[in-house]
Amino acid sequence: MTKNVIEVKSLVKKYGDFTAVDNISFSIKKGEIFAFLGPNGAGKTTTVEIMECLKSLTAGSVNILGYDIKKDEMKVKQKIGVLPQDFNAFEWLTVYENIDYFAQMYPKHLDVDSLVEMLSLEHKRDVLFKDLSGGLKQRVGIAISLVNDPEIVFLDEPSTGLDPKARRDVWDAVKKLKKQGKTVFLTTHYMDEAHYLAGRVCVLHNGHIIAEGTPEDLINRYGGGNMLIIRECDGHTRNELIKSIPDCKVEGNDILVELEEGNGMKSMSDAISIINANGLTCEELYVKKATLEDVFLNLTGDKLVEGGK
Amino acid sequence: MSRISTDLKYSFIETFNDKTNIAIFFIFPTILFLLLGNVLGGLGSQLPNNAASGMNYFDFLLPGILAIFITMTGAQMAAGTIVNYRKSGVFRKLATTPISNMEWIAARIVMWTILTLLSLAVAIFAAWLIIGIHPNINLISLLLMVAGTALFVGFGILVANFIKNEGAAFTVTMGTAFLLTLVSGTFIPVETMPWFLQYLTKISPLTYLSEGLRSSMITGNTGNAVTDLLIVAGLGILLFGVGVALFDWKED
Ligand SMILES: Nc1ncnc2c1ncn2[C@@H]1O[C@H](COP(=O)(O)OP(=O)(O)OP(=O)(O)O)[C@@H](O)[C@H]1O
Ligand SMILES: [Mg+2]
Repeated sequence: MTKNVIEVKSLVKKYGDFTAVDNISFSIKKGEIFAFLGPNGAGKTTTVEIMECLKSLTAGSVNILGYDIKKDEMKVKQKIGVLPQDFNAFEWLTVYENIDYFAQMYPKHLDVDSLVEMLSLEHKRDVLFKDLSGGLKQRVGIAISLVNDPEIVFLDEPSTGLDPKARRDVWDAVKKLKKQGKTVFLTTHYMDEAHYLAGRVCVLHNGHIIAEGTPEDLINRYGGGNMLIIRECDGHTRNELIKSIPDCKVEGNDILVELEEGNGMKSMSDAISIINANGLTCEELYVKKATLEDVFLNLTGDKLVEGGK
Repeated sequence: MSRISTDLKYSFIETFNDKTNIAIFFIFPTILFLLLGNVLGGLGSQLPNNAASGMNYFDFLLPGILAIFITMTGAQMAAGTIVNYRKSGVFRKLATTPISNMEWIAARIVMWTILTLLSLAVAIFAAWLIIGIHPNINLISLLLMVAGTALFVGFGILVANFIKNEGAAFTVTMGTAFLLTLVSGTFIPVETMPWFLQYLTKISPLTYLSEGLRSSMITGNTGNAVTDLLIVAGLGILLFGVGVALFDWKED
């Protein structure tokens, strides 16, 4: 039984009359990569910044590594690493100087050059921070978040605004943290990022947690299953298909057939026989797997209740 | 202590990694001093009778010029840096580390004061070497400059607490510095001004700073200079205290 390194109970944060975080609770075990997934304004940053002792809480409790954040702010700060949202370091210091600056803030810190190496920043070691690309800045930010060899690392939208290659590099860095046994708290609004990196995902919407589980678990429960897509059918084909497959959905010229769990093959072959038997035409036919995207859409758009379809 | 010294060290490195700062802090003031020294130095007839012998008109204006310079640089550096770090998110990152905002501000106060004085020292030294001005700097005038810098740094911090935008902070610090310069009596005699400006003269810290510097550097009236030093130091502690007390880098 591994112990919880983060315990959040009935957390509430109000800005004036506006409730940004509305009574949320969760806990995280040592070594987990845990993601907060939610759209803009869901309350992700507010929640992490409370855990990082940057913001006060309105109600509830937050316990980090056994410390109450209200009483032991300094002890918490010594043991966590933070990459804030929209991270920026000192523009006119080099990569090395920036990492060293933050390393010196802690009584015990890692060797700066070993961090430079870990984040593959050797070739940029003596380049000014202001001259780095967005992806490199984020990697410097991750290096800085590790200077005190923290037990928990908070990464607030580490790959937002990066190109695909730079995102991959950031993801690789996060995977490395997992290998080192660190607990990682990630926030993101990219479904694929949460799916690829996180062992467990919390879906946050309007300050509420609306679902929680492993990505697969969430997809199974709320993803709405796999979907057969019959693309670009002509009018005649559409009419025939709608007649023969009463459950199907029409989206433009496409016909969507929800594949029953465990019985997907049957629905597919049925559809294909109908097309063949009647000499119908369509552009292409494929199966779309449910993603966290669908989970989110179903949960928020369709106001799906706990338990799923 | 090591957090403060680290910030101090890297604040200098950050400043001088940007080569334009060398121009701003050393070349520009030096050129200004040389130019003013050359032009004003020739106006010997403007000198009042109580000036020490061997002085020229620039020497006479020097205390006022130093005071104005301190007002502008001190306030501008403090406000500019704070607004910039707040906006870029550097403060948010710093706030997650063990350094406290008081440690950080302590380091920067030392840095801004040293930089202001260093910049003045270079300009004065160059003007002394090249055009032979008579700076007459003594202990009291040095203390006045330190107290004055701290005071206007405190003012800059105070401004940055309320103004979150770089352009606006620049306008406010420079506008204030300009207004205070106008009423400081350095260039325009105070008696010729309307009553409300004369009133402003009485409450402007720059007035006491430049009068104190003038007393210690020109007329040699140590008694007046010490009084002015006490006033500047007192106002400094006040402004500074309020500025620092309000200073916070967390946004709640
Ligand atoms: N200082 C503040 N004062 C008032 N409202 C705020 C403040 N900070 C955040 N909010 C509001 O609280 C809500 C949650 O904001 P938060 O930054 O936590 O969202 P987020 O999930 O991190 O979004 P994003 O993906 O845009 O970063 C938003 O509606 C935001 O406008
Ligand atoms: Mg956010």
